[in-house]
Amino acid sequence: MKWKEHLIVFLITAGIFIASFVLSNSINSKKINVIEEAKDKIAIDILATETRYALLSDSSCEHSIQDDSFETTLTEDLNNLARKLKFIESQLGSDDENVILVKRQYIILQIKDYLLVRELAKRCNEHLFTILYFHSNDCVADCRNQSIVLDRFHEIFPEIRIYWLDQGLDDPVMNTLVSMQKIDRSPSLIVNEKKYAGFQSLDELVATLPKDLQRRYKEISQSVTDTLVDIKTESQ
Amino acid sequence: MSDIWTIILYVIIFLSLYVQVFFLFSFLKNRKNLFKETSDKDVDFFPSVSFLVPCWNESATLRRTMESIFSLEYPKDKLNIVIIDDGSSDDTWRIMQSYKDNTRIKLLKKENGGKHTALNLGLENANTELLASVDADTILDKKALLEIVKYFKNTEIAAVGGSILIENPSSFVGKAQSVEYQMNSYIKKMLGFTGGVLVAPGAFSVFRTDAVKKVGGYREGNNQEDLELTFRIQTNHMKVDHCHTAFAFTKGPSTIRSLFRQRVRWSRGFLGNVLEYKEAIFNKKFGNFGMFSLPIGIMNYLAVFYVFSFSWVYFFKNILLKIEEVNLVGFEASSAVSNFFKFDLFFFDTRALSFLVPLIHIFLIFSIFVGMRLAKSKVSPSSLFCFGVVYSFVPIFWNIKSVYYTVMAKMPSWR
Repeated sequence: MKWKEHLIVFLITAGIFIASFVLSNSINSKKINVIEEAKDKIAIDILATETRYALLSDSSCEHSIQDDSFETTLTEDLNNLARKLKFIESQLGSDDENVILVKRQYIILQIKDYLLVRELAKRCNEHLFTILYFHSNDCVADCRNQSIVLDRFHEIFPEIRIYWLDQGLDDPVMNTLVSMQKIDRSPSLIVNEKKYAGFQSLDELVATLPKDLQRRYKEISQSVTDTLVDIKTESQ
Repeated sequence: MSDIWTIILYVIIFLSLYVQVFFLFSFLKNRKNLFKETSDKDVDFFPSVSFLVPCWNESATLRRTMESIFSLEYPKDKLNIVIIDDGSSDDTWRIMQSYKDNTRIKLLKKENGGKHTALNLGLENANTELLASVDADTILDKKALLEIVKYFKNTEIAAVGGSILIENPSSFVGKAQSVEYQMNSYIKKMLGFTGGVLVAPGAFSVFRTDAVKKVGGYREGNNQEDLELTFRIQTNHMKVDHCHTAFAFTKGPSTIRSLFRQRVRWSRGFLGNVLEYKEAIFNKKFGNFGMFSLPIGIMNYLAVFYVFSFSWVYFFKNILLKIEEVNLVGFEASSAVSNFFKFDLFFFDTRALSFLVPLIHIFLIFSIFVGMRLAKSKVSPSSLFCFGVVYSFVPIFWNIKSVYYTVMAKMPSWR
């Protein structure tokens, strides 16, 4: 094979290589768009909630913030967005400009939601459970484990809002929150206004909940155990 | 994964892709000739050939090899056979005696000195235009010689390797090798088109006798006398080709252990010979042999080390993470189970790597299927499975061991 043919082969290979990167970038930008759309939807949802409760003002607290009407799909949307952000960050890297921008917007949205929920709870004298989860890329194993536990926690208690806050993100709002809450390590959790530093297991988190929620957790755990026993018995 | 490792991975992927595109380019350019059937009536070229059959404890297989040589479709008066007993301790010499009355067969016996010494003794006794080296456990297809000698019409050709295939693969490892050998037939043919053949295999190859004598006969060649001879012929600017229609069948190792030992020997031989002929690497004087075949042979080692260790670390790390996750939240709540029910295209890996790696695998499958067509055989799904399992896990180990042997200047035992 002559050098000209090697050149052709090289150009074809380079073409395939470049095409793969172009395709990858194009799909990843679409993913960023998906995240931005989700983020916009959440922003509208928060605005709608704000407006709705501003309209109701403090005239009535009959629409409890723990009603289904308040829950809507916002908590779920926030969680889905967090999962997608986490994935796209693993794909594009935590220093990707788009990732950083979307993350900043997402965190501001979360904090806004947190403030709104807290304000409404105060106004209506309701006891509301929220978790602020401070994590960073520096704490690898503990933060990974804490994320797994919180994912499971959210599955069991979907009504409890969990806010995923990246401490490493250089954002003034985030920095203010971190200094206000005196967060000095990752992972750290603010469960119902109380700070827990370091990894918290599922059982430890459940122990912070009111009795009725603890009972629900026990029932779920029991039903899972029963199912596993049934499967085992059937297989025998 | 840090940036430097990602860059190395992409460089390896680029080079692997380059090799595959190179083969495809060569295939498309020559495809018409590749599958062209020639009638035996057109054959009018019957140079005299001496078969060299070196034996070391080959009593179990020698007769079958001899029968296959007798069955060759080739003028019998043009054939000579030299069987060399390299100091066997079994019945080989006794079996050889059963051919003593055949005037076309010469029987030689010597002290054990290695395969190259047996071949050199055979070479001294060969006075034909061509010589064919055949292992004493190889079964030749009846048209193998007829097909391979056609290449010697071109007076520039000094050596032509036959297409070695696995005979009736039945074991797991045998099936894996059958796919590998068929794929190799395609790769060697593509290298043959470009003058970059790395080895005319000892199992069955034909040489121009003068050429072998001119370059100095056989050498020990780091226990790979066939590879070393091919390197020497290539670096003496003589042409080496591959005949994909000259089929020769060999048993091949039937266990992982024996395959491992064989490949350590081959890999050690390759590395040893590459070191001896290092001046040919990226040397334009030696054409595609120096500029392409040798570099990709070496790159293959790096790719195996890197890709295998990378995949293994990734694989085991994920398993450990899953175990940790199950410990934290229980199996039923682990992502392995819950993600199964939450299918979302968003979570598909869309890095460039995710398109390039499958593409290389598609090229690999293409090589297997073209190899299958060239070998005029079939690849069963079970053979493909065996190939996937064996060649995904084992090569890194024989590469590590062969590198260790090379660094320590040690030689693995022949058997």
